[in-house]
Amino acid sequence: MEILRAEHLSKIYGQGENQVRALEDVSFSVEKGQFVAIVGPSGSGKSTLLHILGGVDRPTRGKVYLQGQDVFAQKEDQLAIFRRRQVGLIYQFYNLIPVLDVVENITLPVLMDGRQVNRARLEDLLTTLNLKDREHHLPNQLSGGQQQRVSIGRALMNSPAVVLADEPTGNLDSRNSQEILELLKLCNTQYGQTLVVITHDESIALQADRILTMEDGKIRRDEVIR
Amino acid sequence: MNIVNQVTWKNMAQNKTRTMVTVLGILLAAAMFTGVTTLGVSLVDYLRQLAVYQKGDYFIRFDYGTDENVQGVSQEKSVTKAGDLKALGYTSVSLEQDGYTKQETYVVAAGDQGFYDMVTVRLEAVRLPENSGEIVITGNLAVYLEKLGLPCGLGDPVTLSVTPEYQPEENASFPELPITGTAFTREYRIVGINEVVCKLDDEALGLSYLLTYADDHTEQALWHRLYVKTDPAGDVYGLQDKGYGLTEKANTQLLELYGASRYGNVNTWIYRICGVLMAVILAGTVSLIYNAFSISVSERTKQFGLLRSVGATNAQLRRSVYFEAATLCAVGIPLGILGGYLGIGLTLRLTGHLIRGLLAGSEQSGIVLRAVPSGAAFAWAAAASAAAVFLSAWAPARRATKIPPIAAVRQSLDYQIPKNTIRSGVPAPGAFPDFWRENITPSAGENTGPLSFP
Ligand SMILES: Nc1ncnc2c1ncn2[C@@H]1O[C@H](COP(=O)(O)OP(=O)(O)O)[C@@H](O)[C@H]1O
Ligand SMILES: [Mg+2]
Repeated sequence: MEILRAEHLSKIYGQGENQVRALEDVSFSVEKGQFVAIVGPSGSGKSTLLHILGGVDRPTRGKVYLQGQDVFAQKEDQLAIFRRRQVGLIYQFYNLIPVLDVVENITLPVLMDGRQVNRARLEDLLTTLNLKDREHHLPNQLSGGQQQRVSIGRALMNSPAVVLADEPTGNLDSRNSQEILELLKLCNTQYGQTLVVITHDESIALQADRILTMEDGKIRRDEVIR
Repeated sequence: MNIVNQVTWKNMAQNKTRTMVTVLGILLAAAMFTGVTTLGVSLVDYLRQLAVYQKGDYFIRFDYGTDENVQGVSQEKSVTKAGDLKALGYTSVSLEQDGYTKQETYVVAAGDQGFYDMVTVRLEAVRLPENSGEIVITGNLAVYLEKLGLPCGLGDPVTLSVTPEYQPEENASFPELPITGTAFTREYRIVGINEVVCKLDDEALGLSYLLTYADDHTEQALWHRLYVKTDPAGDVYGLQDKGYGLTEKANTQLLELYGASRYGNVNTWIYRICGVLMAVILAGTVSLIYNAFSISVSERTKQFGLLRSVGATNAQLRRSVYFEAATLCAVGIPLGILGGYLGIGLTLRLTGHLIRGLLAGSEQSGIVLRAVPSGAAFAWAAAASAAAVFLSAWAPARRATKIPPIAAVRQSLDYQIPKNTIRSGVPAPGAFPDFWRENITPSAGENTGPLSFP
């Protein structure tokens, strides 16, 4: 079943001589439960693509459908609500709210929705992410790996339709990297969580179901591994 | 508290210095507003006290009324205070001097408690009467009595024979006064001596009053003088039209201070000047507090963007800025009002005497300009301060909602932005450059200078 579809996405930054074509007519679709890796040289448009898929940036042209919903046809507030319910974003630099503790950061999308926190799911996540004894620590009291685990928790808390990760291990040592990847794979295999992960690390890419290779704002190769 | 506000709250706690400075700004604004409103209210209060001292605490006076008139006024809903001076009759003393007879006639009148509360009777000696057997005579009468060899000191008895008949001779147009009472003779005890004459502004009759107190033993009234205060003050005109006496006279001096004069209203002018001053203060404080909020929002640009990227709506972000404003107000405004009140209180205590020489009658009245605590003054100051704060927060709150999430989530190492593209005037580091925003809506096309990419 198709869960995510990009249609003729283009993104142009700047104007005239300074114009940068970050994405040029990118189209592809992702099946539910698929683990997709995006690779490519720096500046090839990977992050731009991911941000557009997650609804945090708008394409210059083209459309994104998530679960059949035309993402950018929504009004701004609908888009915000869409983001917190349907998209889980993970970044290289974690992007946690510095004044909120671990539990608050993880439950942020739920609380922002004005909903009750599902205690069982929270406990489950804290255990899985090995953050049980860090519940009330602030981000600056945590190591990089721990902060990244918190941001994974935040991305997963709402059971989003898709989790998008932009070089989630780019800032971690290999031991922590592998741990983070195992966690992502776990939620992919265990809960059928659809995953799109940007990575520079070939060994990580090879663990995915499918690898998209980008170059100059275009998809050069699209290989299904398993 | 919702989570976005919680984030705001925690940021405020973390940025203690900036929070304190903003509270201080709001405090100063509230103090200045309170100073102005309290000064205005105190000035009006001072002028009212003077007017009361000079004429009395009433809006209108009905003269030569009947018992029915008294009844009628007491049934008027808008009347808040009434004083009744019952004229009991007339008494005369005559003195042979230098070959001719000098005769002086007085009105003997009994005031009820309301009358003594509302009308200032200026005594030279001792006290006001407290029952119908006590009387305050005038200085003039005391001189007559002394010349007649009668006792005239305080505590002395004086026997007055009172008749119901008197018509002013010179004033032909004067209304015919009722002669309903009966003549009587009564011994009074002198408890006080009034100023030389005591005409109580009764120019028509032109007689001095000898004042006693109205109680159950008071004789039948010939006619009444009714002093009335209403709420709202403007209702006196309705009473005036009903004519609860043969003649009536409005206390314009006081009405002017209650905004109910048909001519110029002094209090309205004072409040207008306050309004102008407050507008000036508003303009000043808005620019001050605006900066504080601007800095707060730009310092938190990254956080706003992050919150948006995890799905905060515009309304949530805007509300969080207003939440910050409300929290700061909750601390700054009460403290400011207190400070402003104490400040103006001290100022007037030190300088209040300066105004005394300026206004007629203020010197001998002993009334001084003092700060009056007024709920209305505080409420206006609070409202003006709140308005200043929310006006200041408005633009930054809007700006908070304009921060695109991409600005926050773009990893800083992705590319570098040349310095000159960062908008000047946004002081905080990490402030959000305009051109990113414009990339979100490609139509907003302003050239933002070259970019260099690593
Ligand atoms: N806000 C921006 N303004 C101008 N150019 C940008 C902006 N963001 C990204 N770019 C450019 O777009 C291209 C694609 O960037 P990006 O998607 O970050 O690539 P990747 O993530 O693959 O390194 C790069 O040339 C980059 O410099
Ligand atoms: Mg990138």
